[in-house]
Amino acid sequence: MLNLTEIQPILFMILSAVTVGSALLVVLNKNPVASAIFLVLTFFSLAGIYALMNAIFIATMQVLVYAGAIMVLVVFVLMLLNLREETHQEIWSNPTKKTVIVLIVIAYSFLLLVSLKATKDSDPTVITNITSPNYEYKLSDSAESKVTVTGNTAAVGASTFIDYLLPFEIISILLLVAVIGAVIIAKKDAVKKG
Amino acid sequence: MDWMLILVWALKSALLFFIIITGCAYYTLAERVVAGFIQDRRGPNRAGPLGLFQPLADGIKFLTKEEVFPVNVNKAMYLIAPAISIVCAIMAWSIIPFGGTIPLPPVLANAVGFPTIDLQVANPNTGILFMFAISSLSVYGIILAGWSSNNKYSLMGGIRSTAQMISYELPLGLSVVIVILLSGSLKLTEINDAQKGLWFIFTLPGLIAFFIFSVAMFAETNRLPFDLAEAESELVVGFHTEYGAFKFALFFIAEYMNMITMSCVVSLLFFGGYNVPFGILEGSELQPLVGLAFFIGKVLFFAFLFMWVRWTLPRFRYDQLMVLGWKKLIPWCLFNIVLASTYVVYWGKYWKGIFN
Repeated sequence: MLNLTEIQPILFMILSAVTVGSALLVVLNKNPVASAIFLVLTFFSLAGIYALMNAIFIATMQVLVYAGAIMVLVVFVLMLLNLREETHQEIWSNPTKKTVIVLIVIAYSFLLLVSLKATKDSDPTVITNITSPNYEYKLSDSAESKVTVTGNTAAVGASTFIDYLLPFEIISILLLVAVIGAVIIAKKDAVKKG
Repeated sequence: MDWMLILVWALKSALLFFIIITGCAYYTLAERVVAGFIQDRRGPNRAGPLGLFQPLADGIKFLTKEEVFPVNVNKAMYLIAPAISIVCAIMAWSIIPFGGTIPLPPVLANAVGFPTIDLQVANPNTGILFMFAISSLSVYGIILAGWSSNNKYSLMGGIRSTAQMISYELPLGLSVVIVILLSGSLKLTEINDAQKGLWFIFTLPGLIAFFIFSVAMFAETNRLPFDLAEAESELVVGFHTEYGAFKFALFFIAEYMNMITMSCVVSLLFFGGYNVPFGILEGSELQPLVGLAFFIGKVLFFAFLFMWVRWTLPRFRYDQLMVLGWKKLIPWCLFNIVLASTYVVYWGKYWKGIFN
């Protein structure tokens, strides 16, 4: 017999190594298009980590929205701008900037160490292996009616439209405002002429 | 989680891979034969009986050609691009259900330890969304190929193709929303089961969604009448101008694979998938196999449609393509979503009642 909980840590190690490695390459790479491609790889392996935590829906949306839609536009714009390779010299030649960067890195690694220590002291290994959780939701209009949802996607849908309906609607209005704003900015010249 | 289960998965994946590669090879042959028929000439008929070994000859040709690297290409990106294309094309196949659950013969069932086998490699909760996630990644193959080749025509082709694929992903996704509304699930198996009584093409919102989907489908696979990415008369062959030998073959196979994937998706979403019509052999053990045959028949029809359209219609102009995508298809999709919601809540049961 093969236990999933035995593979999970190994897969997590691999995926997180890829995530951290590609995230570093995004920053350190001199070629902007290559950086963007490594950012895609970061998002992709992050999606893998989500999937490992049984959040299939979030994993799919991560790939679909970030890797598939947003990063395509970023790469597209980078290609159209035709940027040249960056150089690291400027930042490192300035002593003030250099000290600030070093200080930030030291502070961050200290914080990371402290938080790792804190999590180690708390309850160590609780790996919950949820394959298809069942949720029950009460509809607000009548106390009697209940919705039972099985599986990841249905649970996300139900909690979005039942528990968090108002925030969801507010976000959609925000997005609508953003869309109208984008159209107005894009049409600025046409409006002035007409 | 049994080792045997993993072995069966691995076997299924390997078998699927073999089937896709062979299918694509013969799809290219079929394309040329159909082109020959439509243009009133003989297609390839030299290699083997009826030209059946033509794909094999093509494969050997691609493998043995010289590997050429043009000057000043970004080598890593230049090599990664075709790999991305083919990986995305293959991965999309992992969630397509080709049939229902098939009972194994007793001997095999005892050997592996479970009585039935699903004709599907993976069945994630997000189903059709997973497929869109994968196919949205395939844009990178084209965009990187265009950019890394260090060639104006390639870059133009890559940019055109990317803009086209981003634009047509919207109507494609919105017409799938209709199917999700009608079936109430993202899982492809459940979408298929929801069409047991009535295929979605026979409902009004489903009919509109099918036409939008099929237009967007041609644009997504970069086929005529929307193959502006590789418009021969303007851009040589677009994003893969600088690619030769097997690197070109990978783009070529990926394109044909995407076409077969789209044929599978359209027959699953609108044409009842692997359901057996009129309840033939209902309850029998043979029914899933008959369903598989029906599914393959539908997929072959849509695969033929791709070739039929390619050799019949002329190419669109680029501005016409964008106007069609953004100003015609998307408003129709939004209208159709309202229609579909109304249909699901109010009219659905009466309309279904007529057929049952």
